[in-house]
Amino acid sequence: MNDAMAFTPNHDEWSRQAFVGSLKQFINFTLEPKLHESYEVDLVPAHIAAGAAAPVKRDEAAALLEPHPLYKLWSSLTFHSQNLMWESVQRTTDRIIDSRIEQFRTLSSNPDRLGDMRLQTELLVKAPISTTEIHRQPGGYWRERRADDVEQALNYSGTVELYRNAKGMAADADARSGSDAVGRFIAASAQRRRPDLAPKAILDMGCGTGEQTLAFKRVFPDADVTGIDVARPFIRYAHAAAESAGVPAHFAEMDAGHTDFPDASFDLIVSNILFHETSRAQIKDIFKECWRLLRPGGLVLHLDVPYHPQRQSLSRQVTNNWQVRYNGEPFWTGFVEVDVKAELIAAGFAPDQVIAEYETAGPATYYLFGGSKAK
Amino acid sequence: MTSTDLPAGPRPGPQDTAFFDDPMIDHLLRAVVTLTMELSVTRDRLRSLEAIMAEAHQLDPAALDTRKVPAAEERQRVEARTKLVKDVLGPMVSRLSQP
Repeated sequence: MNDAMAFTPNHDEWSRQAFVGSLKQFINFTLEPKLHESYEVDLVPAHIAAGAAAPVKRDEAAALLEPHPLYKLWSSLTFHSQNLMWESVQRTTDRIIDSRIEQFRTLSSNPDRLGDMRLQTELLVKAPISTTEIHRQPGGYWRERRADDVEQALNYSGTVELYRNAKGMAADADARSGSDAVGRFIAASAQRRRPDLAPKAILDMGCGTGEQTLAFKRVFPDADVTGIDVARPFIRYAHAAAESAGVPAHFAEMDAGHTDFPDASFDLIVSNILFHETSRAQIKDIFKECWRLLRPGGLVLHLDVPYHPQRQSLSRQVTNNWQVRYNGEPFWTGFVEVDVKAELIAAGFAPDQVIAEYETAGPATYYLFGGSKAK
Repeated sequence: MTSTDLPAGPRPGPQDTAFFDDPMIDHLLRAVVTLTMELSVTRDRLRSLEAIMAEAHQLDPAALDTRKVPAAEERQRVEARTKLVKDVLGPMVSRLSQP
């Protein structure tokens, strides 16, 4: 990838960000497993030995786990590691932001640019998204502090690989920073499910920095690829990054639940970790919009987190719920409690065409859902 | 577009939420982690610096241990140390000063 929009930490900035990655790995893979082990090996047996019934609900497990010193240590360190992550990437962004905005202006005004960019005159972000610092990113996804701002996207791009690796969610063990591995994973899953599919038009909903959007153009070079997002700084960034990379793709500031595309505009509609960042009401709207925009014979395939309660231990449900309460994941629980199949059917998909399955890639497991529309 | 037209973003959330019964434990823990981070950064930088200089035959590692710090440089060091102490302990003082 050409790096005109790249996040480029200097020596000390990178060292600081790498430390945060190591800290998060320690928290996720050393401290948190100890916490869950203590719950299973010490707390629950002691609870039962005292004459109480074993916990069967998350709140009952929380009552046992939350007073434990390890839980408090895990909470405090997780909270602080998130602070440090944003602070450490902000240092880099503050140093390079002016040059990246200049790059955006140059690339977006190039008469020979490969793709289009559309921005709205009014902000599309609605509550509760508009009132939430997702992932506790200061300023959220959509704050702008200067003309043609890309600051929030640049900060986000600095955390993506750090965060993914710290969570053990890299789709490809060899994935490098800036890789489009998750997009390629979704595309490969689509090809496995629908070998007959030769999309001419692809929509990536909630495209963010557009890093994964470009994978769809690379895998399906004959398709017209469009990424949409409500966060204006991300759309600017995605457009410039695509132009810089020489990949023809279009980007538009648009609400995935209410786009302005005509009916039956796309053969393949995808998203990558969009749904756990939006409200239950908007999930319904997005599924309806997917059905409206999908051409006969087309496929919808979304990827998101697999943290459904039936797949998680009670103590894991407690720590996940902590992320909802304290760490900028306010819609996480809402999403995993949605009956995705029922909502897809309610949106128009035929029951026998609906997809809702888990797929594993290396150490990571993803939840893939969507459906086909009959020809 | 003027700066007043720009979207301000969501209201900032808390940055110092405490989880231990005594919030000072949270603050001390986080101070230790932050210091550890800066120590890690400094070690990385020192390693890089020594490697670059040694590769260029500009560093005799033994000379580091016998160097006398010039007065002007020492004044800068004192200023930096003072700021470091303030950065580490200041948040706890602020917290304890609150009614």
